[in-house]
Amino acid sequence: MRFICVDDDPVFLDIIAANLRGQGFSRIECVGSAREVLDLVGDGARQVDCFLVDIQMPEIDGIQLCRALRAIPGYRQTPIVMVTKMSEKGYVDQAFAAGATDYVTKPLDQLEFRSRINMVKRLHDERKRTASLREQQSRFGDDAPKLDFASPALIPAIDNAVEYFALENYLLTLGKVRLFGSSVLAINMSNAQVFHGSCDAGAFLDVLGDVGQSIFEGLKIHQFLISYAGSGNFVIFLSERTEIDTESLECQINGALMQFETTFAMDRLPVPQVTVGPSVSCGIFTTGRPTKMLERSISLAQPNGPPARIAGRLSA
Amino acid sequence: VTVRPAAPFAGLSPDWPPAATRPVFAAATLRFIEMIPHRIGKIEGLVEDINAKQGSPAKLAEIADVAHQLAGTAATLGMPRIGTLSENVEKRIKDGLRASQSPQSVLARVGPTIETLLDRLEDAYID
Repeated sequence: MRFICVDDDPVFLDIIAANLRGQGFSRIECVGSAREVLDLVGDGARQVDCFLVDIQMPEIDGIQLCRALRAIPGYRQTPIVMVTKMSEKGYVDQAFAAGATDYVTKPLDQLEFRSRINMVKRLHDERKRTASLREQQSRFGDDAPKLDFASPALIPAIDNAVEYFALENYLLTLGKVRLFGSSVLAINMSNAQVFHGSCDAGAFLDVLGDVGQSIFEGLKIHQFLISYAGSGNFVIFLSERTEIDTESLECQINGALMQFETTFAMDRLPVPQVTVGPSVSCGIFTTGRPTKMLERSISLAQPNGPPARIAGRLSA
Repeated sequence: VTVRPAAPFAGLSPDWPPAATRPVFAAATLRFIEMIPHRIGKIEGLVEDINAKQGSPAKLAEIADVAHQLAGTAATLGMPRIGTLSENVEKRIKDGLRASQSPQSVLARVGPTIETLLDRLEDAYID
């Protein structure tokens, strides 16, 4: 894996680089400003697999850099791990909204850093597998392997879209009070299995993009993050505790999807259909992992009750 | 006075960083120590400017930037006292700037903490 680390403090760059080398990585470039990162990736000569970005830097800060990197087509999905002081955790929200994948705090805890980087490596490996699937699809057509139906995926071409595991990370960063002021709702694409069975990996992702776009249109007056959790489930995190008229939203999304009817018919496919579940909020005295909200919302959005895997985790 | 460069882990708490991780931190610690004279000089110069009424909020913000860098690394390298002092300096300066206080009045309040921070940095370098 190739890393680019950016921090205006050369000492911290030494610390990060030493830790990465300690984990067996050797392709590490350290730079002192966001401008240098953009120069390095701008020429397209190197493919970077992970960015480690200090949030507070002069001129262009880490959040602006994150946004700029996400605007480059080749880096839309590359893991970006933000580095921030414990006292600056307030910036983490903005970083996730700008497309960050995860964050680590200063002072650096070596064990935590190691586990974060291991997670990034798993994500990187998974992405390589997906890219390989797309490549095999283009070479071998129908004989190529498919995306796993239950696997999360990044919804293409939606600004507010984040990886499911990044959304989980984000929820884990929110304190009780912030979580209390937010809500989650899930939207199930009831005929997702049909598309998964009939489409190659690329076309399936395109369908997710079409559904994601319709959801985006239906929720555009709200501040939210959207993610695809796998098995036809989209999850929306709303940074406000709000009552959404789910019936009306469901009509609006299904109506928007009907506009694609002719396109889908040409491929002998049905129009995607969605069911919007009720919004789930966290009570101030609610215990347990914050990510449980995601599982609960997915469970509530199922047209025929929760899927077995989710039901098992909910009852655990 | 000629100050000799410090040994990599001189002056650090004896149990930190753990022995197994010391090779990982050696280069970073050396660089941190080597940069101490520059950082002390920078902070002292900015303080003098502000005290001589040549200071602007930008100079105060520069002190906060240096403190920010120190706070980010010192604790990781086993210098928690320097880390805490730096964080205090950064926070108090930023609070003062946000409240639109004059650089001189902010400095009057945070000055003693800056002095203690500079003393601790000197100790880390000389040790």
